[in-house]
Amino acid sequence: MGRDFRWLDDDDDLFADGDDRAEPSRPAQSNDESSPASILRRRQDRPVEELDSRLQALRAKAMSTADPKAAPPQTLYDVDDVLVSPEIARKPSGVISAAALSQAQKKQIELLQDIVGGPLEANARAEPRRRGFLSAFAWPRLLAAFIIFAAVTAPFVLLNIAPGDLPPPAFGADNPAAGRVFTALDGLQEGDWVLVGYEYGPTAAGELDVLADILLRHLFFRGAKPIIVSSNPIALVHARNVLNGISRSVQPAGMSLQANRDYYLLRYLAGGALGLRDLSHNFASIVNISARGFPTYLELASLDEMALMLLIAERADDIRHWAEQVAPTTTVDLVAATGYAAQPLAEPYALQSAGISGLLVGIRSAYTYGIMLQSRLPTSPGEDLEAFDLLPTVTPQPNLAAYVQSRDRRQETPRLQAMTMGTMAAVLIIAFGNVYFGLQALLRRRTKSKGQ
Amino acid sequence: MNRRQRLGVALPAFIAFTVGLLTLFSLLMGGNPELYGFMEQPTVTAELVALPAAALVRLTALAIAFTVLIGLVNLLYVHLGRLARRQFYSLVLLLSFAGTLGWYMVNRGDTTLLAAVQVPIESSLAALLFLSLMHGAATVLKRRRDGWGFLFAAVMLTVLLATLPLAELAPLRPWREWLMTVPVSAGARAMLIGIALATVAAGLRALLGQDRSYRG
Repeated sequence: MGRDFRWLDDDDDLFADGDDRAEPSRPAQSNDESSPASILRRRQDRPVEELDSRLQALRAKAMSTADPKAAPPQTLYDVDDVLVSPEIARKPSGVISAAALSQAQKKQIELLQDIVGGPLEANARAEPRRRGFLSAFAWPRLLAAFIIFAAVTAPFVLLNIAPGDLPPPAFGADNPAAGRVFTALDGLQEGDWVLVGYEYGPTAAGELDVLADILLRHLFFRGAKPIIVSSNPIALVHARNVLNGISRSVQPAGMSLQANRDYYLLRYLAGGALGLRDLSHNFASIVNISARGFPTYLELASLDEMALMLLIAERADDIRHWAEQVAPTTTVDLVAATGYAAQPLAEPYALQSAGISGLLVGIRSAYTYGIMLQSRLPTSPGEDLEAFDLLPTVTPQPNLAAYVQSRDRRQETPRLQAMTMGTMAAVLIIAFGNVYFGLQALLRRRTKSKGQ
Repeated sequence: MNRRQRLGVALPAFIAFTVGLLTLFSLLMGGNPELYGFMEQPTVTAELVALPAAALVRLTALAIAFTVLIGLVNLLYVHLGRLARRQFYSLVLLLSFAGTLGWYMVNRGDTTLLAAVQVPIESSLAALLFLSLMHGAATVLKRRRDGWGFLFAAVMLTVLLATLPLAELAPLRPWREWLMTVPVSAGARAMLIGIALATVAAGLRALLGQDRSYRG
């Protein structure tokens, strides 16, 4: 039953170019246990008894139809025994070495042998491998991981490491889309409804929690009421955690956030893009049920009653779905915040306000946003506002300033420095690796051309 | 194929065609009273036209929500079966499921487990992805030693270097900006157009009954 996938063993062979294949000194086998080929090779067939009755019956039928007396398949379907003389067969490379082949034909044969694996290679690979936990091939990766780890943790441990500049204190002309997000949120009035699409799970929490925290605080600071929806069930639970964190942070000021009063967490929208379409068509009924299945008593008829729509998304697909399924069905502006990974696919919607009117990307934007938000506090000096060229807005209630003042900013700078250090280390490793392999390729090519 | 079999193939295709066209018409023409200004009650007419799409979309969303439940039940069923065959890894899953459910019910919706277990685990996996990507980027020229490989490595390093907030690397920033706004943006737009065209093609196949699932 078991099929042998050993010919797929070495992904280096599959993806290498012609020069690589011809190299005799190149290691024949890779220790890359995580490659798809290796994973496929390690796959074992399920035991027969694990199959359900239907599959077992099908297997029994297939086995019964097989002819047990059938001759075993031969290398060249019986042609070898008839046509190939014993002298030719005894030659090191069999028929191929005996026949007169052109250079191009030989190259094609070598290529085919590389792809399907010749008999000698197959025999060599049949031998069990010796794989040490820390084999020679693993050391470069371990070293790279250690360098990255050291670079990223250094700013949190050592106080004197401050590479690079911090992000600017305001979004300039080079980032108008981010400026539009701040302006949109800062223009909200007390009691305004804001639909928040919370479309990220724990995987992106490290990057997007900072953005979500600061944007939600800005909403509460303006006295707006967020209505949170998501097409990701885990995201809703995670949103509750972030909201609980904000609520805990303002408790020393004698305040707290309460569900169905200060914010509304609605039920999970099943069906991805279809669920979002359902949201825009059946908004009135969807806002009536909370994430825990209780009535919210919200009397909102359509999306048009929102003052703003804010999307915090991890994947470019989610941004696309919101821009295509929700934004066109209403006149309300949609602004978005996302991570660096989704930026390229999100920008076409945001740069020309094609569905998304503002876009905030990554932790560096969150840092700038935080400084701008801090400047809106009633105690902030007025000259700062002029420096940022912000539109004058109504100052919110003084007690709401606690939502901004209570923000934990201790980790902001070390986090940015860690990002810079990590990027620097990654750039060095990538540059070193590519220079090494590039020079190796050039030297091999030169050696080969001299040999010819 | 006999007559009965032909009917069995044609009927689902006919239903899909009818429902698809109705939904399409309702989505395109519904909800916009300006289109029905010539009628006595344009708002009511627009809402009536929009009704089939709203109802069908809601029905589909409900069906999808139900499949989530079916998936959960199936997962438990499969792992109970594996446990019966003494495959004890399944026990870990079943215990985790029961523990999480129990915790959530006893502590009235407390989400500490998500914050303390799920978030760190998934964040760690994301960090591992970074290491894998970095390793892949460092071995580009090991895999592909031609002009495209060199170009790829050069562009990648330019973009990464220009991302660093160092004043010494400022001359690289215009290059990064150009790369991000012209080739990368063009590629992203091409992908989005491709997705849109593929969606239209898939929709047309379903509407015309050419989709494999309707052909039996």
